Amino acid sequence: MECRQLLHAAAPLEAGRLVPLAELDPQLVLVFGSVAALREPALLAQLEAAFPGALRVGCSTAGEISDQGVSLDGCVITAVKFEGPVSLQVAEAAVSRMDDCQEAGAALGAALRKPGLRAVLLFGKGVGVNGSAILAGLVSVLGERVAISGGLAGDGGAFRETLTLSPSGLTPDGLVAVGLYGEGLLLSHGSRGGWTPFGPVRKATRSHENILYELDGEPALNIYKRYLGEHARDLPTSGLLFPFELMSQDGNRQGLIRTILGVDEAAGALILAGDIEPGGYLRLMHASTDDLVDGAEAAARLAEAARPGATGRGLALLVSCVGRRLVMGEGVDAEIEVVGRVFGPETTLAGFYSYGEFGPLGATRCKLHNQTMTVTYLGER
Amino acid sequence: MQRILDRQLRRAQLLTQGEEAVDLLERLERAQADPALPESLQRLCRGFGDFLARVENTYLQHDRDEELRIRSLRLSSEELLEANERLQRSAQAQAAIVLSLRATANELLRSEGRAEMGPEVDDLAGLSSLMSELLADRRKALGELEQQKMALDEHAIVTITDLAGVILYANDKFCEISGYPREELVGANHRLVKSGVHPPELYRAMWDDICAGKVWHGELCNRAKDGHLYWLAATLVPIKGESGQPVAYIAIRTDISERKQMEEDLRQSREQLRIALEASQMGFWDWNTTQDRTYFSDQWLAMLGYRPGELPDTSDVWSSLVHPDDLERAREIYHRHALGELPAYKVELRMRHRDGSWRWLFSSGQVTARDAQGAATRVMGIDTDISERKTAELALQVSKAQYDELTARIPVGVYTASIDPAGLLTFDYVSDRFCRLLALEQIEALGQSSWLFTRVHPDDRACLLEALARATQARGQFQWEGRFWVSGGLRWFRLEAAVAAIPSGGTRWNGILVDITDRKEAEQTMREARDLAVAASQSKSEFLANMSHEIRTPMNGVLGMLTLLLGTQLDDRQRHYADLARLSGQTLLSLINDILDLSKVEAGKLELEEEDFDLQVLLDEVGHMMTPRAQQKGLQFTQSLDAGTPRQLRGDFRRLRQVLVNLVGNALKFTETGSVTVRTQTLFLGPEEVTLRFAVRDTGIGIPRNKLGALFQTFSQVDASTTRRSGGTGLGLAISRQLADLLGGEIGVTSEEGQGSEFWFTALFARQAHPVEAGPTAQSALPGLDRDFLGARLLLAEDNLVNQELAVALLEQWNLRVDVVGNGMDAIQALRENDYQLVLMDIQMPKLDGLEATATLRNPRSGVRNPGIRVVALTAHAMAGDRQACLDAGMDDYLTKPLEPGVLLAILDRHLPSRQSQAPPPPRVPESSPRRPSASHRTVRPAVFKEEEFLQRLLGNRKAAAMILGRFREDCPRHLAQLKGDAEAGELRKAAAMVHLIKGSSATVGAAALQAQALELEVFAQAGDLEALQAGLPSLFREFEQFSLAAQGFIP
Repeated sequence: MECRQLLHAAAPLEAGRLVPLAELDPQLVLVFGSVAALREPALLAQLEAAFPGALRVGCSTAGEISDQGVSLDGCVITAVKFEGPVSLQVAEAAVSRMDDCQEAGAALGAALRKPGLRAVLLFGKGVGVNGSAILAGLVSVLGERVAISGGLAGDGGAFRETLTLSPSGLTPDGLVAVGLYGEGLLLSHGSRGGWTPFGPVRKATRSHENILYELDGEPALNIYKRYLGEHARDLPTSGLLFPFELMSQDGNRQGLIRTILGVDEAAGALILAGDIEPGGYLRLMHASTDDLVDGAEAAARLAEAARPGATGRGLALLVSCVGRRLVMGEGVDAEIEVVGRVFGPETTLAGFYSYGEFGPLGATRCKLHNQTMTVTYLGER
Repeated sequence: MQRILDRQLRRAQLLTQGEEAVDLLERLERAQADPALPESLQRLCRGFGDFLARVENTYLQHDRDEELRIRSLRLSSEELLEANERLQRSAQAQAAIVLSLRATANELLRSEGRAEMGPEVDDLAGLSSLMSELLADRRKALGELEQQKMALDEHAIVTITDLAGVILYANDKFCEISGYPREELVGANHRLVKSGVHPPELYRAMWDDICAGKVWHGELCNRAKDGHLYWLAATLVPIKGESGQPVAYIAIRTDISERKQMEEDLRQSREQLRIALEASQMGFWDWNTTQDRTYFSDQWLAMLGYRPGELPDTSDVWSSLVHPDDLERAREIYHRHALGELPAYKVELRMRHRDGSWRWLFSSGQVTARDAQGAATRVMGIDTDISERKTAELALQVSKAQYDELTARIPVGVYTASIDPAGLLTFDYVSDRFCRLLALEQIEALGQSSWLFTRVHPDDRACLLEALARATQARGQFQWEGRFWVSGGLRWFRLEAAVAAIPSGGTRWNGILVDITDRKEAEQTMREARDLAVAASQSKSEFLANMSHEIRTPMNGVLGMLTLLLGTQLDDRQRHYADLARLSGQTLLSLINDILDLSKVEAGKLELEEEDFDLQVLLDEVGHMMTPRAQQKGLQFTQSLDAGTPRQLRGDFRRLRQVLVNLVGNALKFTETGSVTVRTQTLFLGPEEVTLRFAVRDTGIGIPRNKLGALFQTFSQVDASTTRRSGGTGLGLAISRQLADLLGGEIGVTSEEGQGSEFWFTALFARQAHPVEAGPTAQSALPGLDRDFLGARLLLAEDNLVNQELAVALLEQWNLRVDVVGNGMDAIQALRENDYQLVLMDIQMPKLDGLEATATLRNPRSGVRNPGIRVVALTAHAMAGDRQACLDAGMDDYLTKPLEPGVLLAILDRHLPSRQSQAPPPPRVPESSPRRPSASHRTVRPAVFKEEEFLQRLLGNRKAAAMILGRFREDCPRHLAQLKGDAEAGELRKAAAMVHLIKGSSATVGAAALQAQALELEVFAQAGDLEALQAGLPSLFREFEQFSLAAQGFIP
């Protein structure tokens, strides 16, 4: 495998800058950029001109990740060349309503379902979606043995509108999935948060899928407002500072973290990025920068396990959470650097800050994560 | 600017007093624009602002983070504290609950008699589970209680009433049995169901008991809503209140109405039994085997003359009273019953009466109780005095023995049987002989009579059953003869019986059985012999009938030869011998004819013909025949036909004629002087038939009385000498009798010796349905005899020229074209060449006769143009068989000759279209035309020339008449010569044919006398009498001469 990457800031891309990437003759081109960067009028045409035969997928971000670290308002274009017997297939779907999520996921699965499917890269609409429903739909068709990586698109923390890049172009409602087929693929994953729970355990006394109405009988939003104080006016963004730890009804930690994607002032409810178990328990979490960086390192180390078997360059797809960036602020590069140090120079880093990460969790091959650094390593034997 | 950064900037002297960070940034902005500044410093100035912003962001972020952290810490601490307090409170509450729970549990434990828990037990879970346990127990107990209650409710009738008697609760059963719905019971006083049967004391006692808190038991009678009474066994239990005093009472009752009823029934039946026993005089005994005591009822004791108490009640009393001869048997029967072999103990035995006499008792009993091993513990029974009956029985036995002895001596079998209303036949008594006759054991015969039906011959069984059934119904005499199987063989028996009804609805039969085998056999033998004789006679007759021709022929030959011989030159002696021979021959032939005739009749070969004929004509003919002979003897011969006698009859006129001829012949034979008269009269006249009586009276020698009886038998003649004198075979009358019989009549004679005789006979004839009367009919047909057949073409096949002429003359008058041929072959040829509408076909023609010709032309392959052409037969035979033969040959219709214009026209009308169809409906053509009418001729002699009639037949056509007469005058002599030749040659058949022809022609031309003579000769010819035929020839010739003369006037 070979990868070549280009990071360019938010300015029209010069024509020649894509040439080295084009010379690679890649099968896959990953494009992550800010909403504004993606909306550059010439971008799509340039990409098409440069990579006519490749699958060009990606999404908008709340920050771009590349070998050079984190950038905002930029665009990272990564060309990937598979040298071995690896085949790709792309599928796309649209989600206009939250209810359509599962169905859309199932549609994607049906389109990709072929013998030899090893992994799916999924990028999708980041606001007004139920990420776990999308996954559930996908898993219902593909089963639990196909690894799904990727994440929900971001829009710089505004939680208003994201974009997805697929063969049809840029859509705010789109989901795009790339199926990777072939025994020659090397895959590994790692996902870690670094958040610590604190305070009392609270019961989700009223919830519906990914909407949390009440905790311990109190409107869920009130708790956030209490804890955020004056920062409450920055909700939902400021809510990223305090994700929830999910616990089951019998009080067991599930290792899942849920971030809020939005708030419903009228209902006093929190809209989470994924489902929570009704009657389950939640606990507020916090993290320091160091914690988060340590978490990222841990995730990287988990994913790095497959790298020794790879030939050529590999690709580490880093999907981190917008909340982490918010916490780490200026020091956010640290988590990228630490991942880079773990993988070494032979691996190209590419990714974005998302509103929800897709990746394995323990024995389960696919879960929606929040507030994690989810690392997917792709290589070839 | 963040505070700390701001202070640090001032500390580092980067910001002076009064300066703000923004000022600094401005200074740096200006500074970096200075071109003299080195590159690195320029970059510093440019980037310092950004750097400062980043640093400030970091500080701000840290500030934020710290603030949030502190806040979080504070908040969560508060929350934790709060949670803690909540927990504490909850724990306290829980403790209180535990306490309360423990108390309750203890209470429950106490109530169950279990040990209480101490305060150490504060484990909620444990308490909870204990509570569950207790609760479960309680629930179980309640459940059981509930079930008991339900059971009680199901079984018992329950009410709860208060002290005043007002019903507080009534269960379903109470409602059911009292007939009141619950609404009417609850709130009402219990008095509602008071029956009024009990005395008030009962209720008072009850109240006292229950008010005292005691439980009351008793039986109560209540009244239901519909008024009927029912019995209850009641238990009243007071329900005590807190004070311990009764506040209500609960009544639990069961319905004992049934039991009460049973008790009552039992009492009644006991009473009935007692009364019955008393009334019946039957002695009742009850033997308790275990205690070995027997109870004897008063009646039983009285039966044997004992008074109550006079006999001990031990069972050996019984055996001491039983007759020693009966004791063994009685004991045995009892043991068998006790063991179960017999369903009851029944025995007749003698017991000793108190006065020492023996009484016959019928003892009947049963084991009524057994112990665990099945041995009888109690036996009960009834004894009846049957002494009288027994005596009667014995007397009967004696009587029966006497009866048996008696019947044993009677040579026939005696039996008594009965048939019950269901039809079952049982033999009650059969004598010894009865059994021996049938080789039956008495046991077999008695009782069920199935042997009767199995032993009877299958063919006779139905008859037997029927006879039995009939006799049973009629209750009179029964007799039947049939066969039974006896010891492997069949024997004939006769069963007789007198059948009487018996009260039970059946019948009693007393009868005898006789063995009639011998008689039957004799009958059979006789029958066989008779049959054999009859058969023999029959076969003899048949033989004779068949042989008739064979016998006659040589005889004819002999006579013929003799006649010829007599015609030659003979000397007197020769002539004498020949004469005698001829006479003998004639006699013999006559005899043969008679015998053959008779045998024909006996053989059943004589069949009567059925033809239409005219009685008057027939009588005239007979007259014609017999008159000459009468005249010869100088006797007067007359005949008369009573007025009103129908003339148009149907029957065998030939046989009639034969009888008449025979009788008249006899009369003439045996009369020397005087007269012979024939009188015909009607005996019975019916619409379709008539019985005639013919009487031939003569004034002859008469018949002796003693010979009258044998007259009509064969071979008897009055006087043998007369026979020799007058000839005759003696068979005539016998034959006449047979014929009269065949004709459906009788024959008889009355006679006075020396005075004369009258022979009479009766005969039955049918009347013609549509008689064509003589003369008048023919005359009335005349007016409508004009026809125009539109020139239709006819073929006439007729060999007789005279007849040809006549036919053609008639046909041409009616506008028909006629082609004439003389034989069948020419007829066929003509039919091949030409188209005709109709063929008139004579039957007797040379070469190919009419029948054969018709058959030929009917065949499509014959080549004739129209095989389906209408063919009308012309025949002179006029006999029944002839008609059928014509029709069978394929002819369509039939005419008899001589042709009668009316009849011919009728036939033609039937088959041909014509212009004038106003002719009256043609009279039905008779099967045979009547004999030539001689309407006005009552005199004996027929006319020589019936001119009028002849002309009428030709419709007055003199020209045609002349022509025809001319033809006749030419032909007839030829025919006569032919006839003579044939007769002389002995060719009887040919002669007969010729005579027939002559007869026909003479009839055509109206030569009546000639015709009559020819007829006579024809009769002779048919009878085979050649000699007579020849004898008659001269007169035939003479008649022709006379006719010729008479007809001369016609022929120009």
